Amino acid sequence: MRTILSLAFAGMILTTACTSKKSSEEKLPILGQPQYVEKTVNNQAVTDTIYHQVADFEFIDQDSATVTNNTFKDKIYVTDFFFTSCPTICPVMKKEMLRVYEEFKDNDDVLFLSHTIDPEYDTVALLHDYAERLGVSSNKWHFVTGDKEAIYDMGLKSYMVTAMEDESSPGGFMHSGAFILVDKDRRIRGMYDGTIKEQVDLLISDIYRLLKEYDHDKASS
Amino acid sequence: MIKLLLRSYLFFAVVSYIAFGCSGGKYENKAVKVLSTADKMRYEQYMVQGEMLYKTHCANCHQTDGTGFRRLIPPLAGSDYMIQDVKHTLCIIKYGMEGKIFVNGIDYNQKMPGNEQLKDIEIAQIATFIYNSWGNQQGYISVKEVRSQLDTCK
Repeated sequence: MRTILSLAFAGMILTTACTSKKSSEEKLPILGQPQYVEKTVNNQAVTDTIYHQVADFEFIDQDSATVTNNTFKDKIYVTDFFFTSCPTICPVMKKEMLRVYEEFKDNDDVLFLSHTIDPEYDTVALLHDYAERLGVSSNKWHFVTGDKEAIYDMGLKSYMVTAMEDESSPGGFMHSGAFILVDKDRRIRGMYDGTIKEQVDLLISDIYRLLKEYDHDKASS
Repeated sequence: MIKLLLRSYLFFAVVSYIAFGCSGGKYENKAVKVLSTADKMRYEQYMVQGEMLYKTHCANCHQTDGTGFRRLIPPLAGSDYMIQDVKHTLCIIKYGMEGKIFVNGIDYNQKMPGNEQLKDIEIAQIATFIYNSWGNQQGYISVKEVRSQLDTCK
């Protein structure tokens, strides 16, 4: 009886040991609500999964350059929502985002996109000044402004985060401190609380994982 | 039996009073050395309270080590602005500020939100903490000083 138990125990340990090694090689999930579409292929009924994608957008960055989805073609990017006069979470968010920026400064495949949710106050000139004071390159980290409703729409529908005007919130705006990781196909692969260091650490390691996924695809194609 | 207990308690009280009075403790610096014993005790209490208030209201932007953030948020550690202008510093803590300022030769131009909900004693505690941390040794900021300076903020 004892031998059977110890063999079973050893078996359990070994299988979990082997599978856990694989999980770091596992692909990142694709977030958002997928749509399932019935199709007929070769007279067979097939269900196609259409994953949630970031919608089309067009904004202006701190250099007055137009920024659209094309700016991020074939790139991974991290995005968030903030405003320059934010008294509470934004400085922490920017500090943490800066950490990610420094980590991938020399990797051309990774870009950054910060949207202002107070476009009336955060003009192009102000964003330019802000980005300059932060000490970041505008080709790598775009600070965008534009139509307020369009920006809020992107937040809520595309990136699935809260961003809106709210008189009762400090600064007048309520927004989540989320950092969203978007892949080269406009799909959301991760969401992280930008005010929590451990979550930003996770974002950094997930970016490496995502980059590896593309390397593997390239190698196997 | 009780007499012995009382005597040792009294002994302990006397020794700690003397020890405290002489050694000054954790927050001792040259500006604090000249304070009366009562003020020294108040100072130590302000440092403890001030640190907690700082962590809640200020550290998000100015950081726990008082170094600020790039060219967006000025440092408090060794800040010439702070050291040269106590009155304005107290007004800024309470009412925030807008517009350009120069700190240690670098310009900053971000709006700072005020903390109007803080009472005079809390301002005194935060001020005492920032003026005696990270190498700053400006001494104890009293409630009286806070009140008289705040009365003249614009």
